Amino acid sequence: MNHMLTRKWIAVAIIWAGILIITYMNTQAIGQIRHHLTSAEILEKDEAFLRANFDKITRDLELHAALNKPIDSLQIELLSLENRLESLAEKENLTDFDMDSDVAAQQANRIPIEIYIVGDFKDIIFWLLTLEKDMTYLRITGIQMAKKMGSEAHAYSVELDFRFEISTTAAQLTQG
Amino acid sequence: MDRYRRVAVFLLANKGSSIRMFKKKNNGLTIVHNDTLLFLSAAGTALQVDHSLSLTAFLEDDTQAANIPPAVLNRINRLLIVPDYWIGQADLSLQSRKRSIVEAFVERKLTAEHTDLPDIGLFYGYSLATHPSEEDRIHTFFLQDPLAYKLYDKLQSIDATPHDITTPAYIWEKKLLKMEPDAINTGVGLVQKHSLESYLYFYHQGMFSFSRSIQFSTLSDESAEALQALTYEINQSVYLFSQKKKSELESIFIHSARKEDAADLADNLGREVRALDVDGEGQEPSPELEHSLGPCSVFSSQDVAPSAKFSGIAQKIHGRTRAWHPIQRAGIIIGVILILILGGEYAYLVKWSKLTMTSDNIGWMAEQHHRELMDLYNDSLNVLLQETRAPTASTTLLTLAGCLPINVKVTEMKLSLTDAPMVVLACIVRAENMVVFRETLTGLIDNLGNAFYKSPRLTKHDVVLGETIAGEGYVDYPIRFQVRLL
Repeated sequence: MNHMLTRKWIAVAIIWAGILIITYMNTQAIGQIRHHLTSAEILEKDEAFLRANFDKITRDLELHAALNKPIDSLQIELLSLENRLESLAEKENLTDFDMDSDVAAQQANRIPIEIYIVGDFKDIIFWLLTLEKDMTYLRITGIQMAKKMGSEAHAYSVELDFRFEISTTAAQLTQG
Repeated sequence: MDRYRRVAVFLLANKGSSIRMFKKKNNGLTIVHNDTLLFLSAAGTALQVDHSLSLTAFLEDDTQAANIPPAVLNRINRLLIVPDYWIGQADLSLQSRKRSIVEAFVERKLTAEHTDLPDIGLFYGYSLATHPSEEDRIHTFFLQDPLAYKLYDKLQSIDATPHDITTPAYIWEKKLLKMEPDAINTGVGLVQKHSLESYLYFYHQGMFSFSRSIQFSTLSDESAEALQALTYEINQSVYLFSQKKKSELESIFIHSARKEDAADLADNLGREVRALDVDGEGQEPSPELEHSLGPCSVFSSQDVAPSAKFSGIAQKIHGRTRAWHPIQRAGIIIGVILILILGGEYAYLVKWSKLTMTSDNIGWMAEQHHRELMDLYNDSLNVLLQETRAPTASTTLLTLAGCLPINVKVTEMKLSLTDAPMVVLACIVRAENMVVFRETLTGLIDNLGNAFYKSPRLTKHDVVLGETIAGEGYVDYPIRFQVRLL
């Protein structure tokens, strides 16, 4: 009789252990479903957000991309940049243009540049505005102004950070 | 694979016992009458004898047990009815009504008083007196005949262990309580008259007191002598009852196949004797059944069913074990139902989960793409925000120029737009006198304060005055100061 009682207790224990296991499995399944549903909901919201703000996002991403200039060669790009800045300076009636780049202070994706220029305050402002608007990869970090000796004009020293990004093709070539 | 094979072998090997565990066995009962052991089963409301054998032979000869039909053995022996004298009674006195204390006390008392019965502690029952005057009384009943222990062990050895052990007197007690509930709570005598023997049962306050068995030398139906003998025995027993219980016998009932016996006995006793019709429609047990079953011949299957709730003795350990059976059964049934429900729920959840996973897989690529795009956008926004928050060179210069009064000329300027933006200015203020200079300086400071309102406000003490240069009708005041740009 005790033998039978023990067997029945074992049966009861097995059945209730099974219940606990199935309950655990159900909890896991519910958790998994909830996770899927949450992911789907997030995806839906993301999609809706991206669709609704597509133009703004594209513009912001372009603005962000414009903060670093993709280049193939730094030396060539610095020459090109010097030409372009000088050309702009001439356009704004600025004279005595000179540009120095401190290669030793170059960091991973930026290099400090110093430009010497002479001209009126009004002209320098227009020149700076053009830089800030059209050449966002140039970040102005400082400006020094001093009266030019023996002249009414002012000499400016403009410190810039040239932010660039070596393009993938160029990087592969360099590594090769 | 090998593990599954081992499990299958185990299940096959235990198939019989597993099935037996859940198989519902038929109920049967055993009766000891004189020297006969009878195996009975219910046939409708009546009891039928399936097998009988000599008790002495059964106890002493092992081959006798082998002759018992398997159909009889392969059922639950729910009840063993033994002669009344196999069960003794005793009244004990104890204040406590706590079950554990009462049981320990009864067990100790019985073991001490019946040293010849070592297992008496396993075979007893008790009831607590409910009458207010007997609050501390415990009525105990126990197996007092060594034959009872032998029989129990023997039945256990052939897997026919009885669940409960009782006597005809206890079954009559519940039967009378049902039929004559008012009478049994006083003093009651019951005469069960058969053709060759009679049984006398006496009850006091609803509890069995004692019984007698009378053998007739001739058939009682035709003998006035038998009635005389019965009258004599009843009178003796009534006297004994009054001596034992200190109270008078209120009623006497008789159960007899001969309807005139009640009136004849009443005449002989000189008091009322009421006939008891326990057979419903008047179907009396046959003389053969009376002879073989004795006092149990009048009992129906309902009388001996557990629902009758008569007093009985259950082997202590087995009784406790059986008490768990309903709990186990409930546990198994509820468990199986829950497994079915939860299993169904799991199947449904798995199906649903697969559906969501399918759509999830479709959207996974899109989700990855969207996430990357969102991350990129977040990074871009942070950078753009930093860019727009920082003061621009052109705006700062224009603002500074706007702050300068007309008589102030900048000679030097140093603008820094790095981590701590600031501007250092060196100017010349051309003024006719000190008053104008002060007014100009105040205007300059006010203008700067208003233009760069987030920056710390400049005071005159922050402005360093250089060596003045006198001109014609004016004085040049060189000044130097710095403004933090926030």
